Amino acid sequence: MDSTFPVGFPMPTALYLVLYVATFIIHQALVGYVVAGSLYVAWATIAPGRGDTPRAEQPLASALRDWLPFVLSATITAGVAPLLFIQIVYPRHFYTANLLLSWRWMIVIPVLITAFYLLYLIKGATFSKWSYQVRAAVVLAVAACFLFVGFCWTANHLVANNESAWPEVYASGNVSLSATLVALRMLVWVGGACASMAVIAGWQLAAQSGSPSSQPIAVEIRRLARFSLGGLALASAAATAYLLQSDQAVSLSTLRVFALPYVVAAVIGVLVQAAAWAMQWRLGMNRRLLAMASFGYILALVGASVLRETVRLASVDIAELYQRNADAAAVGGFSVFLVFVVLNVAVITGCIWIVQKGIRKL
Amino acid sequence: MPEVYPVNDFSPLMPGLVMGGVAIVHVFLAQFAVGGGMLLCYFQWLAMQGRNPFARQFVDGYFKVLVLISFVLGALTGVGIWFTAIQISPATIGAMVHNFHWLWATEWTFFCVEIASGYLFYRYHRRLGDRASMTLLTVYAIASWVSLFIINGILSWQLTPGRWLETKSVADGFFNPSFWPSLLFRTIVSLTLAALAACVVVNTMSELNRQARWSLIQRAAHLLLPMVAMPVLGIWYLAEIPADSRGWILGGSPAMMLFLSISIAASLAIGAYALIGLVLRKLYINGATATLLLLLAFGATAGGEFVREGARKPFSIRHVLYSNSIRPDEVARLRKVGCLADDPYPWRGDTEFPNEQLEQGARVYRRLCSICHTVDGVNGLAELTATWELDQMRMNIAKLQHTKAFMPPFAGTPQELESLVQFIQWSSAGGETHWETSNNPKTLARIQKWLEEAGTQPGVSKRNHR
Repeated sequence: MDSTFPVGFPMPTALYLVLYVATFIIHQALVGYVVAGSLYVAWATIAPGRGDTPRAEQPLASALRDWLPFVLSATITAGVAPLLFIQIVYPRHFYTANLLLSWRWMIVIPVLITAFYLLYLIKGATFSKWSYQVRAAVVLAVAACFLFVGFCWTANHLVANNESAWPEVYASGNVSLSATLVALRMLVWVGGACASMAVIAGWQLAAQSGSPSSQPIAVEIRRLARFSLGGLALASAAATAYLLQSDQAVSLSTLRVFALPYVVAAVIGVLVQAAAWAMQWRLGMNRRLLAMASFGYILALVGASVLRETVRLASVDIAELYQRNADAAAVGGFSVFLVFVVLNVAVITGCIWIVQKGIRKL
Repeated sequence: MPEVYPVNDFSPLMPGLVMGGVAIVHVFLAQFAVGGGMLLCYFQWLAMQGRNPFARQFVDGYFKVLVLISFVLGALTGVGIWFTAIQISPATIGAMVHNFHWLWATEWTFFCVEIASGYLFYRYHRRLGDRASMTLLTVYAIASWVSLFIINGILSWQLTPGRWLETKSVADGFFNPSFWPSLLFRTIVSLTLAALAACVVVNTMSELNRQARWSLIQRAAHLLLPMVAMPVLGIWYLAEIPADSRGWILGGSPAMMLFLSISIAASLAIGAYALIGLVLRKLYINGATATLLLLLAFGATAGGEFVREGARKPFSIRHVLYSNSIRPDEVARLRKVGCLADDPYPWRGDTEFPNEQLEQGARVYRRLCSICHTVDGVNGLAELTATWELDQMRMNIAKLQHTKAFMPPFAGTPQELESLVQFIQWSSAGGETHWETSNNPKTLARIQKWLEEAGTQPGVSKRNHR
C-alpha cells in the first residue's frame, strides 16, 4: 500500500471501502452514545450522590434515559448499512467468522432485545420508584449487555482477520483470542464511546435549556467534560498500546504512507476535543466550545475508523477480492440508491422541519 | 474456485427449520409494522374527519404497541434473520447481497425514514396539529410499505428469477414473474395482521366503554375486507411459479401440501369471521377471540412461509444455487475432483470412526446433505434410507435428482459416494467400533456408471419456468 486510503485500490474496491467506512462512522457515533450513555446511567443510578436530586434524576441522566431507546433503534438501523457493505468487501472473512463463532455470535440478538426492553423500563415513569437494588440490577444489566455485544464484535473482527487459524478454530471449537488485544480494543472502544456521548449529550443539554449557563446545566457540562477527557485519555493510551502490541503486520511504514493523514486527523481531533472540553470545564457551557469539541470528535472518529480499517487491510489479502468487488460493482442499481439517498435525506429533514414548525405554532 | 465455509451442526433440528423459525417470526412482525402504518393513517383520517371520536386515542395506544413490538423485535429479528441466513447458507445470502446490494442499500434508506418519522410521531404527536401528525404517519406508512416492496422483489427472485437468468439485469430479477402477486398478497396480509392486532389493542383500552370499543373494532374490520382478493392472488402466484414447485405444493410433497392446507384453512377461518361476524353482522370481538385470530394469522404466515421456502427445492436460488450451496455449473467439476477437495475444515466432535472412509463419508454428508438433513434427527438420513438395500442406496444417491426431482444431483466422486453410503449404514447400525472399508473396484465402477447415467443436470427442467 503505497498511497493514501482509499486511493491505492481499484475503483470498485475503493467505492465499497469508502461506503463501508462512512456508514460505519455514522453507526459508531450512535453506538458510542448508547454504550457510554448506559454506563453513565448505571453510575448515576448506583451512586446517586448526596444532593437533593439524585444523579439519575438530574438533566444529563434524565436526557439519556429518555433518548437511549430511540438512539438504540437508530443505532441498529444505522448498523444495517455497514453490515451490508462488509458482505461485499470481505464476504469470506465476515461469513467465516460468523460461522466459527456460531451461537457465540448469534447470541447478540437476544442480548440486544433484552437491553432494548430494559432501556424502556429505565425510561418509564415508575422506574425511580423501584427499590435501589432492582434499579441497580437493571442499569448494570443494560450496561453489561452492551459491553458483551461489543466483545462479540471484537471477537468477530479478530477471528475474521486470522485466516490461518480458521480450520483449527473449527476443529477445536475454541476461539483463542489474545486477552491483551481484546482488552485494548475494548478500551479504545469504550473510551471513544465516552467522547461520542459527551458531544451528543452536550448538544442535547444545550437544546434543552433556554439559558445554558444555568446552574444545573453548568454542573452537567463539567461532568460531561470530565467524562470526555477521561475517555479520550483512555482511548488514546489503549490505541497506542494496541498498535505497539499488535502482531498483525501493521508496520509503521504502512501507517506512514497509507493512513498518515488519518493518523494526523485522529491526533488533532483528540487534541481539539481535549482543549474544548478543558475550557468548558473551566468556563461552563459554551456553544462555540461545543462546536469545537464536535469538530474534533468528527476528525478523531474518521481518523480512528480508517486506522481500524488499515489494521484489517494489513492482515487480509484484499487483492484476492478485487475481482469479486468489480463484479459486484457491475451489478445495476447504484443510481437507484443514489436517488433515494438524496430523496430520503430530504424526507427526513422535511419531517424534522414539520415537527419544529408544528411545535412552534402551538 | 468455490468458497467452502465451515458448517455448524444444529442436530436434532435441521438448519432449514432454524432459518424458518427466525424468518417466520420476523415476517410476521415486519408485515404487522407495514400494515400498522396504513391502519394508523386510516384512523388519523377518521379522527380528522370527526368520523370516530375515539380514533385519536386509539392511534396513541396503537402506536405505542407498534414501537414496543415492531421497532424492537421487528428490527432486531431483521438483523437476526441476516445472521441466521449466514449460519445456514452463506453462499445463498452472499449471492443475494451480491446481486441486489444497491437495492438493499436503498431499502436501508427507507428504514431510516421509517425510524425518523415513526419516532418523531411517537415523541411529538401530542404537541402537533392533525395535518402534521397525518404527514408523519403517511411518510411512515409509505416508507414501511416500500421496504416490503424491495424485500419482496429480492425474495421472490429466489424462486422465479425469470428473464434475469439470461439478462442478469437487476430490473429483470427484481420485477420477476411472481413479484406482483407476491407483493399484493403480502400487502393484504399486512393489513390483516394490523387489523387483528388493532382488535387486541382496542380490548386493552379499559378507559373506553364497550360501545366505543365496538366502534373502533368496526373501523379496524374495514382493513380485513381486502382478504376477499387473497384466493385470486394465491392462484395468480401459483400460476407464476415453476410447474415442478407447483406440483409439490399441490400434492407432490405431503409436508408442503399439509402446510399449504394449514395456511389456507387458517386464512379462511379469519376471512369468514371477518366477513360474516365483523362486517355483515357487526359483532363485537373480545380480546380472547381477537388474540386467537391473531394466532391463527401467525399459523397462516408460518404455513405460507414454509411453503414458499420449500417450493424452491432443489435450489435455494433457482438454477443459480442448489440448497447445499453447490452451483449447477460446479457439479461436473466436483464429480471429477471431489466435493472435499476444496474443503479445508476437518470433521469435528468426539465421534471415533473405525476407519478413514467413514470420516470421509461424514464430511461428504456435512458438505452435501446437512443443510436439509440430519443423520438421525429431523429429516434423518438413517430413517429415510432405512428400507433401502445397499446397492439400491448407492444407485438412489448416484441418481439422486431422478430418485426425487427436488433433490440436487450428487456432486462428488464415486469414492465419496461410497464413503457417504458407508457412513449412513454405519450410523444406522449404531456406530459400531469395527467397520470394514468398502473399496471394491467393481462397486465403484457401478457407481460411476450410475452417475454418468444420471448426468449433472438438475431433475427439474429449466423450461417449465415462466
